Amino acid sequence: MSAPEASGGEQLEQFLRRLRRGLSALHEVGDVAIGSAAKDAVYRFEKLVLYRYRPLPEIQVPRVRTPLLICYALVNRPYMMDLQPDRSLIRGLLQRGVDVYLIDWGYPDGADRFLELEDYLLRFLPACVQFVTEHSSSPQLNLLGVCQGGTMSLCYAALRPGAIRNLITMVTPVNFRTPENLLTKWADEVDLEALVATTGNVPGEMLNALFLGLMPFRLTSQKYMDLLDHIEDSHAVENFLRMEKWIFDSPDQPGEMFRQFMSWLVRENRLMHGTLQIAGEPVDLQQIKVPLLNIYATQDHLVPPAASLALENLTGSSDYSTYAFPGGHIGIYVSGAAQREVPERIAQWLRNR
Amino acid sequence: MTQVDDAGSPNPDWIQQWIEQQRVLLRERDAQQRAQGVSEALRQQLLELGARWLDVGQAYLTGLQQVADGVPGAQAAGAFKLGEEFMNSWRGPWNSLADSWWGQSPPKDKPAAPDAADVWSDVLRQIPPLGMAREHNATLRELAQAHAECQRLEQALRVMLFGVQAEALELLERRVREHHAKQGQAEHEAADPTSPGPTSLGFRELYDLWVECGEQVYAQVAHSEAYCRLQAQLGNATMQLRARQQKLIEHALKQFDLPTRAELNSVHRQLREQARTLRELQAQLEKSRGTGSARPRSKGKTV
Repeated sequence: MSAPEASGGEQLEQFLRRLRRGLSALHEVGDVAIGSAAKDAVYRFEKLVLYRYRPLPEIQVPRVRTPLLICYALVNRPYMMDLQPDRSLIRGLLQRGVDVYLIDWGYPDGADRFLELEDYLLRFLPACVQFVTEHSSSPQLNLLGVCQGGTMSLCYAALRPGAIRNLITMVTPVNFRTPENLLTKWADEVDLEALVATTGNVPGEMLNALFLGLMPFRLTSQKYMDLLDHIEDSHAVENFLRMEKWIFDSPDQPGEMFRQFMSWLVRENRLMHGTLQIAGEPVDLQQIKVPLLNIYATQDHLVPPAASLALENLTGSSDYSTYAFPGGHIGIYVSGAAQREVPERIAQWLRNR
Repeated sequence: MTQVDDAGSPNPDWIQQWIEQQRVLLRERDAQQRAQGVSEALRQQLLELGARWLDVGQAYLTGLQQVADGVPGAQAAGAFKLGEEFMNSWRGPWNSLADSWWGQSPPKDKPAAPDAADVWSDVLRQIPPLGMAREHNATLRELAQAHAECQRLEQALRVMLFGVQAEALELLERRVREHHAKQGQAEHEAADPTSPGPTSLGFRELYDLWVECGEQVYAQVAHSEAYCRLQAQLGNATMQLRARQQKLIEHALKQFDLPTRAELNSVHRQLREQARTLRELQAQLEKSRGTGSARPRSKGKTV
């Protein structure tokens, strides 16, 4: 803490001046564009859209021959993986010769309220996997699961291991009952049946309110004050607005899928206990024999490191490795360090296998 | 045809005549009850109740007549105000009667219910719904209970969060004092006679420190069993309230032969069952042909 250089009245005047400039700057910036890398929608299945990112024509490194399929979470939108040119995991992968496909689950509506975990694991994901292998003329693919999408990827890899060459999980919860996991504690006494019966699809706004409730002082107040510190920097303001859009662009969660995920995986921790079954088939993580890279963020307040690290003792892979990124759940995609390190680490790991 | 009363306001004579007629009937009824041996206390209560009713009734009817006649200054809202007075005229006698019949009036050491409507609703709430509107009454009663429960839990959560704010401010005060103490100590050790003494924190530093204190206190509370339970209870109560609201809305939709969410759910379930059957048949067919595909046909498009 340093001594203030101005009196109280002067500080207040400075603040008000900055606030006025801030409002003016926000007015000038307007809306912001999202995404940077060129992509094609190559496959559609109900509301799901599978994108293939166009390979960059000139790269200095040898291409990774096996395509990479990214399975994003149902919570929030997948454009976080390619937010803007200088904040894009996907662009970083393309620059390193990786052929990238991405699943966009879309915005579920009332017609999707009875979709189950089974639909995602035994219908949607297999269809995407089959499409990618056919489209790329590759017998196998590399699967990268993000957050909840990582949990689903693990389940899929355990159920249908045949088409997967390598598996990567990013900030993926496996043990949902770690002591520091506040979301899990809050969910413990929630009447999930009543919630889903009443709301149908669980509103994204409801989940947003919960996420903000994890750190209310910082997330509803301080971050906007911090914005004023950078208000003169239009690039920083645009970055802020892109993040703000992503944070609050939250699809509703298909009701039955949400109920099953929360009951089976979060509350009963079935992945940890080896008791999860999908359509009568046991999900045994020991069946995952392929090389597995588990990437987690050391400062993750949504998926604490311990929740991800539990995977090591559950998987049957003899080539299991971890990568601890020094940052948070979002920073692992958008921070400067992430741009330099994460795609390089993934591409290198894939190239070695 | 109107007449002017003592207060100088127009008073239609038909109202005066009708009220007088009712007063006579009330006195006759009292005489009959006395002859039948009805207790003095109960008769007095009924007389008082009747007299109040007639006083207010007279004012109410006069107000309505004034509105109908377009008398300057008369307002429709005045009639509603009189309606409230009319209800309140029941309060005293009703409390006494409820006390003598059911023993349900508030304890003597507590204030009486604020108005007659509360007394009515309190008594009616304890009676099972009856009659043709039984189901509607039951639904409305459940809705009211769910609403009250939500409000109770919201208030409990507010109290808990106010506690966080208060504790965060206390922590902030301690931190600021520590800051001053440390700074004073450092300057003392430097033994600089020209030192201006401890400096205050800037507004922004103070704000950041407040956020830090708030998050620290909140984290402890948010992880506590009591908070987790209360938050879940409030969420569950909110869902109960919404479920009851939906029930009312669905009932209204049915009256107009409009589709409801419940009907759509039934259709969705049927469709899912049929789609599942279709997939199984397709899988059997492909198996018999020696082909197989996990993937439905694509509808690709460049974007």
